[in-house]
Amino acid sequence: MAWYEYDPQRLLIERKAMALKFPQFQLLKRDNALCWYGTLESNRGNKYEILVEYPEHFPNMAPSVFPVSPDINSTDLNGQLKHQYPNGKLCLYYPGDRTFSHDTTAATVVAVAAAWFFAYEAWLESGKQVWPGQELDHMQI
Amino acid sequence: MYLLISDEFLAALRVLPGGQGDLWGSRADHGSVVRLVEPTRQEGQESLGRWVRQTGKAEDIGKDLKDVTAGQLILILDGDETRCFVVEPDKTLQPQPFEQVKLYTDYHSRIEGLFDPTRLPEKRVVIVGLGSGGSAIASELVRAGVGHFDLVDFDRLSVPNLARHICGLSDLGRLKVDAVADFLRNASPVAKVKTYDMNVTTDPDRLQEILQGADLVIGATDSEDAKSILNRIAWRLKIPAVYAAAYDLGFGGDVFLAEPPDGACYECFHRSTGDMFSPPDDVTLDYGKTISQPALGLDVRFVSLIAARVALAYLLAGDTTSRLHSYSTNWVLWGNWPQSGWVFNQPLMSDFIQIDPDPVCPVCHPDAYSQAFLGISKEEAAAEVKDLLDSLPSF
Repeated sequence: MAWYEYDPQRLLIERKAMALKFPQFQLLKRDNALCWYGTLESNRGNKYEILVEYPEHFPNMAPSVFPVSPDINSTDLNGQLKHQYPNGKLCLYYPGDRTFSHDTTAATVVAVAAAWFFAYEAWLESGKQVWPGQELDHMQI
Repeated sequence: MYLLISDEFLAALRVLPGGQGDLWGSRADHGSVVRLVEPTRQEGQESLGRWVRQTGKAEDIGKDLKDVTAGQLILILDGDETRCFVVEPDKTLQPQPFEQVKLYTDYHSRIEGLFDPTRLPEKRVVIVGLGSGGSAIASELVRAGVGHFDLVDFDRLSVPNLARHICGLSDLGRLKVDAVADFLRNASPVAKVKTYDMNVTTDPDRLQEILQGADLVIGATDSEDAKSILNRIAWRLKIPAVYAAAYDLGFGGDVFLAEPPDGACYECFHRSTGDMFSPPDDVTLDYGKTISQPALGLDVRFVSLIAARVALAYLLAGDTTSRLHSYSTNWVLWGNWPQSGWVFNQPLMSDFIQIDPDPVCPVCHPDAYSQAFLGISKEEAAAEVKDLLDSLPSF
């Protein structure tokens, strides 16, 4: 049973939050998973199309954010991915820091993704040298 | 030879058709201990000789028995009298003394007086997660006399498990549910155990079938997903649940009792205590559960024992003779040793805290939740979501 079947109210709360904060996003269905699809625009004027996919066990797990366009590859000069998983998913949370809770909606996740792109642009401008914040080896997770 | 024969074994032979047959039992310690205990034939038993119902003079004993060989046991049931012999090399029968035991009535004699012993054999407990915690809880419940177990886990016993698990080397590679089931059957003659090789996060419908009619469920898995799903189903079925958790490195743990319909559910507990579980600075984080955390079996066992005690107290609620009084709070915190950022400043400390229900919890108060956040009833929300899902474009 999908999360929105045993907790349909939560889906309506998600929709309400997204309509309030990111009305340009559209809710889509991919197989049995639900996704938000939309575009973020950074302060530098760059546009990023992203897909926010709810996991099967939402809200025990955070939605995943995947860049759709342009193609985002945060591989650094040493060949290591920066804050991104091999499948393209953005790393938005430091594991175990509990910044994502059961009450966190997709709207907050999209806001965190916007902050990710801000950091990404800063990293590009630094010549792929500096990315603020803690980082794990994304290959081990 | 030290020969042990149970009343139940003899009672079964006295009514078996045919009047004689093979004597199925087990040997231990190079044959110096022989047991004729289980009334039905068990896996791993061997034929130790013959039994026969007969009456007559001593010199006639065993004369009807054929194909007996030296060293075999001959058990004679003569009315209410039982005699045992060993076949000598010359085929004569040498009387063999034995100890007669009452398997089903004596096994709980050491706990008599603590509670009404007739209550627990009828209870059915579902345990989700048979790792070091769940297996130890099962071990305590069966020894206390709980009669029916449903064990749910998908994992197998591996070498690293040996340091903390109740099962051992001879169980390596086995499904944990099967290994623990044998442990329970070996611990109690009354234990009836069913096993389910499954992951509750991928098969919640089956979990619901298993939980139907259970008296209690134990959430001993380290997966928050599994606990969350268990909470939703158990609460809907009005089945109380005990959730146990041991912390990284085994510095402590906690046990929470979710008691529907008026108590706090695990979602309420999770929401109200989430802030307390930010890991202390000097504790290694469990990154995505790819790295096993070290912890002593004894430190995990303390938490398991508390969980078993909470479970027993719940199962015995209403028994006026019980000395296992219910706890006044639904959350028990346990500290094995002081930990920076944690609540205890001495080793082996406990605390008792009451977690109140969240009045707008999506699991245990779905109507209030719906009204508070959406201004509509849960039925209206379900209908709206159905329309929404039907109208969604596919990606």
